[in-house]
Amino acid sequence: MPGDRLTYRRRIDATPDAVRVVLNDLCLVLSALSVAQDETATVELVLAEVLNNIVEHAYQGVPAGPIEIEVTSDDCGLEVRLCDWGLPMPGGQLPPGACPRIAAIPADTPEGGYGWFLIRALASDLSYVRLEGRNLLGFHLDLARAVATA
Amino acid sequence: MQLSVEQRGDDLLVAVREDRIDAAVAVQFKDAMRRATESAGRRVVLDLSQVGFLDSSGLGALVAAMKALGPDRRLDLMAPTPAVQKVFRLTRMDSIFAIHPDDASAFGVGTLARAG
Repeated sequence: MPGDRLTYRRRIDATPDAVRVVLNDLCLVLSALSVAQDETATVELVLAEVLNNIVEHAYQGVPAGPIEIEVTSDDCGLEVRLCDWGLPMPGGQLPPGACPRIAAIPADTPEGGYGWFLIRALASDLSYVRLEGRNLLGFHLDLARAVATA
Repeated sequence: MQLSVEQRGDDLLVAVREDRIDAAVAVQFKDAMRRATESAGRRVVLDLSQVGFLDSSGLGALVAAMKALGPDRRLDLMAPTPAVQKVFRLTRMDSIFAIHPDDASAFGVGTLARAG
């Protein structure tokens, strides 16, 4: 029996602690809607990666503006939209997110570059637009069952 | 960032007493690991059983902790939770680190535990 769609909207400060709070909150909302734990974990991971990117790169670690988050459910999962007022994506495009290569020796193992790889591995329909001083990022997270609030 | 430390023969068992290794605490984790493993012997085993969430920042911090041990010491991982296992699998960290499901497989049944 289809119920109402989930519409989750938050505006947060661009800090790691505010990110933690909203992730916890969203996970509680999804769990209450009977989203499976492993799927909730995936949503949390992808949201963490994109939000941390905004904090660290768009705002360069200076919380000079908010991050607006919108998560809505559809027939195959969740549509996520993020808006920030930070610096534009370098080159105006999303990073390709290739998996950092396994190094021949441990000392050469990369410490970074995993974030966009994880985002691209777990999310689909990624989009990025720079519009009137804002970064608008969108993507879809597939879920096994549609989320319904009723 | 709370870590607990226990000597296990020549190895050091470090347990993470936090439920997240993420962007908010990655630097603190690296610092705490460096302090905890300064005088560690040939192997450090990191107990991740309490860590329910690890993101790419946490992953980078694990790699940094491994590199900080230098070429003559190793960092093994133990008891990752399912969400953390998934990150390891996707990023192929399971080919960089030895990952033990539990204490017995990390240390072998019958290994003497000595208070450190």
